[in-house]
Amino acid sequence: MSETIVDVKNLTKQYGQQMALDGVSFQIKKGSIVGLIGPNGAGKTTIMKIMGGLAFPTGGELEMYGATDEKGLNHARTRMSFMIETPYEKEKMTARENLEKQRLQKGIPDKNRIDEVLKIVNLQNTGKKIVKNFSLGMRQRLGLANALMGKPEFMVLDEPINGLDPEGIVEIRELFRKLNREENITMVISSHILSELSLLCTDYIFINHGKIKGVFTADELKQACSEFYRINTDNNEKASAILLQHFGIERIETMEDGSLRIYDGLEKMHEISKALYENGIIPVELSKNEVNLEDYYMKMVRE
Amino acid sequence: MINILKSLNFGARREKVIWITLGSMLAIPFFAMYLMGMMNGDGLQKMTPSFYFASQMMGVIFIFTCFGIIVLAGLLVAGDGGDKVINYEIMAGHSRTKIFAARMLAGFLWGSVLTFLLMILPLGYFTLLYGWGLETNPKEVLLRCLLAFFPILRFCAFNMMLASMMRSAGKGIALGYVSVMITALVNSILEDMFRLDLIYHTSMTNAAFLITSQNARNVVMNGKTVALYDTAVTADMVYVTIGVSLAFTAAYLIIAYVHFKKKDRD
Repeated sequence: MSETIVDVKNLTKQYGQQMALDGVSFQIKKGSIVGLIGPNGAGKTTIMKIMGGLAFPTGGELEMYGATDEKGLNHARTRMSFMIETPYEKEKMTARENLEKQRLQKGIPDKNRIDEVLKIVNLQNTGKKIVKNFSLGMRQRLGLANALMGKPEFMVLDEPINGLDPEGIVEIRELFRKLNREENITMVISSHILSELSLLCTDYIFINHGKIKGVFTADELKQACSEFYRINTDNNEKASAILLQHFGIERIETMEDGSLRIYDGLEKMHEISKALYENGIIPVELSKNEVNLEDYYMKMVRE
Repeated sequence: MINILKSLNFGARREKVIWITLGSMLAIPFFAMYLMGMMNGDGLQKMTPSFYFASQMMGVIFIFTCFGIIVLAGLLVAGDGGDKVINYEIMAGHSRTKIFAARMLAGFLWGSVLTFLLMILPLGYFTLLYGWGLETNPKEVLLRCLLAFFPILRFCAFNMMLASMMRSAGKGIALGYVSVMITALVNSILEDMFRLDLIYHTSMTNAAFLITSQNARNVVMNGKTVALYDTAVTADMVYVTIGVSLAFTAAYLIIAYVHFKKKDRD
């Protein structure tokens, strides 16, 4: 069983009257890639800031690598790297100078590490160009390079593919997979590009309004993002009652346009359509579909 | 902490504003000499260190030194605040105490020690060029200059506190300048209206008292009339200067530390 490296218990963070985090609990296992998903203001960055030591929780407990005290958490952070909100960058310095400053700050003795990480993120040819003149994508890459400098065991990345072109997104995705596969680096990644997360993550944490809405493994989410039947009739309300009473189908969702989605009893569609007809309900639409991650995310955040 | 210091020094050496500030502080005494010479119609003024001190020139230039301290203190302490680089020091696992200590030490080294050396450097090179001069006692002047280091330390600590709490070099520097102006104005009003003799109340008045000359008397030496200035240092001056300066320095550092340690970072 994988070692638990982060254990968050009932974490709260209050800014004035606003609860940024409200009793958040989750665990992160070694070797996982966790997608932290939620709309703007959901609490994703707040969680990352607390993990990074930038913010202090109002209540609850944060345990990282077995430590809960300040000294222990600081020591745990030496095994981690973070990229939260703005990437690490001094605008008037070149990429190489930025990494050298980071190298000195972290006490990394090997100067060759700078060339290694520049090559990994494809910034080895920036020369004397200062960061101020970098594109957004280049700045993101530099931020990732800084995050990789100390050869971390655990990376916490806030929207790391923000600003990257499609080619860059694929490159970075492959890099993350490689780091996870070959060096067993654990990652927590927040992103709005859900399709990318679905190609990468082993676990998902959905958060909204400071509360955890769901924690799933990739397999569990795949099941949750399951097949369903879309039913549209001339009397959807009556149809919903019949489905419940006659077939015991409880997982029925009424969509904004009034149509119904049913997630259970999919093998009984023939009997269902017959029952509806016999009860004077005319099915206008009956189609098989699948929930994708975006649909599931929208459903989660609406709750 | 040493790693953070190395990183800070690396960044400081690449900061153009720092070199412009240091260059200005080096050049200003020469520029002052040139202006004095222009006003006297003598070309470049031949300035002995004694005359440099006695003519209040050192005191005037000290004002520019203060502006330099404000800039250096602000940049070293909070130069990494605006671009959030300081956040990455926290996330790297350095304790906030060590980060604070490293930045304060860097601020003191560049903002106090270096500027102090630049302030007294003219005494050295003027001595090499023209000899000490007649108006003042060299040992007493040097002792006053050494004592002036303590209010400079206090002034530097105050500006580091401002920059640290503002989390921005720019805001800290702006606030530093405003505080100097307000302090000068309030001191002037208190001295003029209420005839108060303010010396140790602020770091600037303390330093100005030490590096400006008082009580001149004319004597004839070698057929020439020379004004001799009283530059004696009393025990009170030593104890009060050092005591008050260190007390205020400690207070500013404690306030800045508590703010840095306890507050969330943006």
